[in-house]
Amino acid sequence: MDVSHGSETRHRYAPAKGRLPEFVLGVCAAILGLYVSYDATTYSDGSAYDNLGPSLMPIIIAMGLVASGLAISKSTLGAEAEDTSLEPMDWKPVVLIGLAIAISIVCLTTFGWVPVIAVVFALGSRAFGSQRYVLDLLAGLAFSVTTFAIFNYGLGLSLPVGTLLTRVLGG
Amino acid sequence: METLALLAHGFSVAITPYNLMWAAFGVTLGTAIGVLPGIGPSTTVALLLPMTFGLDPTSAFIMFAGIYYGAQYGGSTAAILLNTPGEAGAMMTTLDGNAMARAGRGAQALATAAVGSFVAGTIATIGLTFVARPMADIALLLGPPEFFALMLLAFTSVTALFGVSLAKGMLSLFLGLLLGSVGLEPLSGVPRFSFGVLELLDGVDTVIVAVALFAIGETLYVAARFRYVTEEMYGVKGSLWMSKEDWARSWRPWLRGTGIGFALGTLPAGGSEVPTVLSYVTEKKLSKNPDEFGKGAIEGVAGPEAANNASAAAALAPLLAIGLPTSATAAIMLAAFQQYGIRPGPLLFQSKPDLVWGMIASLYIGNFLLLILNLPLIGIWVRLLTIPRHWLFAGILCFSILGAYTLNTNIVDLVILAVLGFAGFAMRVFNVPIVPCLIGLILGPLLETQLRTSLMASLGDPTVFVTRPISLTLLSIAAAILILPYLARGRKAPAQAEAE
Repeated sequence: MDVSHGSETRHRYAPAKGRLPEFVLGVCAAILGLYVSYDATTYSDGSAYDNLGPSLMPIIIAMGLVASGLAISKSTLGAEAEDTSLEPMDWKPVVLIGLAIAISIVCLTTFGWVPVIAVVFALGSRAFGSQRYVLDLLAGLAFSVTTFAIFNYGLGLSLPVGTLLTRVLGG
Repeated sequence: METLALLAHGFSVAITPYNLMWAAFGVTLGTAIGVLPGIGPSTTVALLLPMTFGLDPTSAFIMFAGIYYGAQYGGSTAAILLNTPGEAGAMMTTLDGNAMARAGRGAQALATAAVGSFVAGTIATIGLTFVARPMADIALLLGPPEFFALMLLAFTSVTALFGVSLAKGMLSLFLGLLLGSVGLEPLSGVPRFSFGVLELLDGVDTVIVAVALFAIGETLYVAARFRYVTEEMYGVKGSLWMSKEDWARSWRPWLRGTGIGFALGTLPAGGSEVPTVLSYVTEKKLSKNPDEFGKGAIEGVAGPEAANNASAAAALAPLLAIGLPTSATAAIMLAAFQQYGIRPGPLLFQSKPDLVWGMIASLYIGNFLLLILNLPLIGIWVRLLTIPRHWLFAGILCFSILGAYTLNTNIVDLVILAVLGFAGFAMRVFNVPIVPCLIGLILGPLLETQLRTSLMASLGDPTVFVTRPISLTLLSIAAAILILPYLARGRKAPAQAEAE
């Protein structure tokens, strides 16, 4: 059954223009819900009166995820759904920031706060369009040294010195 | 009165030069970070919280109070000068605040926000002082079924009142509940969703989730869009002080805003949107020149700002008295308490009065320091915003990593930061509200414990929730909050059909 919406006719089960990603989001949420309900079956049981025990909450969560996921997907379908489009976006800066965080995960404990964060800072800066690599790296270094000083010596926290450095200096 | 004596004792604990120094530092840091675009008050608090952990609990909470107020003020500054609210409670401020900035009256907008926040914060904290203890006493009368119903009410109000789509609010909430159930299950010790990773057995930290969803998510979003969006900032020109007329027009909205904010903030329902919107609408209705609203009416800044601050302070009442966080910031504070092994709730007033009253006293102090430090320093905060955007956000990114790492000195937290950061980005893109996720994360485990305790005590009988009167009342209100919007929409449709 085709229903008109404005000047456009759309099949009842087709997502509105530009809302396919949202439709996929809903489906993903529902799939996550199904996974959660599967996981809930793998626990050992709770006490006698505890009914479902540790599975109770995950089952509720699973139902909620599936229900809201399906609701979101449904809202993008059919005639009453509005056409929107996602705003224009670049994926490269996003990847760059992801890379920066990944570098911190891999290198932070080995190389220490100061050099790694300088690099992360520079990468973050690049993600926002800056082309002045050397200047950004220097700014990053200033940032990492300052934060290292304030937080390690001033506030008593423990930003990593780097196992490499400790090995070189301490032996 | 006993309360005043306890408060005085709290002040004696809080007012030492050492602690005052930390409070001042907290205020400055809170404002500096809170001013950054996209970083709202609760994100600021989450980012800076790990910093307080190197101090002893009393000093830590005093610094925390400073950060808290500084962050609120920083968020208002960003709303007024940059038109970026960073958080729901600041949305109303952007309307007239930014309009005032564009008209060259930015300084006056900032001033009315600062003074209004001080007035609201002081009055609300006084209210908190007298409301918290009785609330705690009432809470002692509640049993697990009532707590369960109360939390359910908080959930429904947070999801129904936030954002546009109930389905998206629910999705956010259930994601939060899922994150909350990661780790060892409290009653039986069964590991859930930990994928064999040791560090996950303790669960996912609220602060990491907050920083990931708010800060990293926002950074990714702005990075993806920066080529298409230019941010305009309106500098502060001319006189920095409010005129007599400004004062005359502001003081009543301050008081009204405080009343609205405090009344709604103490309720175990969620959010700062309702008080601020209500205040804006009230001021507009009561104003002699309602047309000025939207174009720079100072009442439109004074009222909502006061309401926002009052509701933020008031949210501490259910947090301290019942252990129920009703806002993102309160959720983060609860995480802070837990980090120190403190469980807020009715027993806290009895077992650790020093800490609680010291904290309430430090709220007064933080509020006061905010006013005397920030009013003259407006120029510096504005200068901060002229730092090139790529450095600002690179700094935010690094600060997030700093906060996440120093929480538990643990790299796994950075992995969680990354994964949830991208989730936060997706939520921004698809307009899924973030606050329900945070509330679900922190309340989920509590909800589950109360639910299962109730069922165990009633020997598996689920009707216990509706046979006890208080529980039934709370559940009915929760149901009403969910159903009413649909009824309202249903009534609109026939009216529209008639009009066609």
